[in-house]
Amino acid sequence: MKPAATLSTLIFATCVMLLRPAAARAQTPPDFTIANPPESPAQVIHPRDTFPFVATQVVSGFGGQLSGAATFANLAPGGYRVMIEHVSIHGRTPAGQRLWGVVHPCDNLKGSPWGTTGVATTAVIEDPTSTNSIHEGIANTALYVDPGCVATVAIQRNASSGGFGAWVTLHGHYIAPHASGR
Amino acid sequence: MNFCKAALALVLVALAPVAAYAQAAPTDVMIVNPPEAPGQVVGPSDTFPVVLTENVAVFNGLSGVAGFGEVAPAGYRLIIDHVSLFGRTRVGQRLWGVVHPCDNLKGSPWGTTGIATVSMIEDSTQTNAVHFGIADTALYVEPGCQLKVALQRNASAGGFGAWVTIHGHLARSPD
Repeated sequence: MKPAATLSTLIFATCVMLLRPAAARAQTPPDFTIANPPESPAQVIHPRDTFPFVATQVVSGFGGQLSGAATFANLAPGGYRVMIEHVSIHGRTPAGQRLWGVVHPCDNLKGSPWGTTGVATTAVIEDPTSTNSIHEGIANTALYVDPGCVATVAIQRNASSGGFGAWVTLHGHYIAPHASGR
Repeated sequence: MNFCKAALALVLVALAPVAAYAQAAPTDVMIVNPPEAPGQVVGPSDTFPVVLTENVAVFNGLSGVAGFGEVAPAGYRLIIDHVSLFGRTRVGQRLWGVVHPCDNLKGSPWGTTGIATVSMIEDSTQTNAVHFGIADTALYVEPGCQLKVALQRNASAGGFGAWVTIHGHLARSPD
């Protein structure tokens, strides 16, 4: 082997060695300590602001019907989870009735009663003729929905005369999960 | 000979960053993102969410207990953000809950928190009432704690049932 060729081989092999640790470092970020003082806090943002999520379903029923369901299918796209922070209900019935909801985040995959959460409402007479009542409720939650879950909010009232309607809204945000929930 | 020296020098240069990196302590950094370009962060409430539901059913008694057992794995705390209660009794009765996060290790009344409910008549025959309550909390449970939610009503006629749900997340213990 010529000396020049040996030198080239050595330099090449050394370059390979030089590059290997650099590649390893690239895969393992170094540790840092955030050192911002109170008067100069770090500016950060949460997925609640960057990936907000709001979904509303209308539920309606005619006289004789006591209940209905707001169905939210395919809420979470692949690779994401929907965190449900609040569930609100705005409904209307004939005066004198009460209306409420029960959240079932994922009965189809996780089974009932995982996550079962009731949503109470306050009833207010809507008009001076005392014909209808409106029902307002919001529950603060920390529920979540994974891909494949069909979230439902069961709506029920306590008398079947006249029709009823309700708007059910899920308030939350998307998150790309790094760990499994329980 | 010169080749050997050159090669040795290059090998030393190649190894030096590895050794330096292995010994490096965490470096203090200042996050200097301006308000209009903030850094993206995520909290454990999103990465380690926990939802647990227990059903309680009691016949002709005044009270029952939703026992969740030991819910915090080693090295973690369960932070309880909300506790919800959805129950059913005979009409005219009231039902409520009281959270006891860790009576077995921390003793009562540490963390004792009541859950008030709103009652509504469930049916037009006025047979049953449903009860709804959610308490917004910042309680926590450590490994070994037996988390319980005591349920009580104010009359014992008929049976009662309730679904109690813990809404929270796991957070790594600092020690």
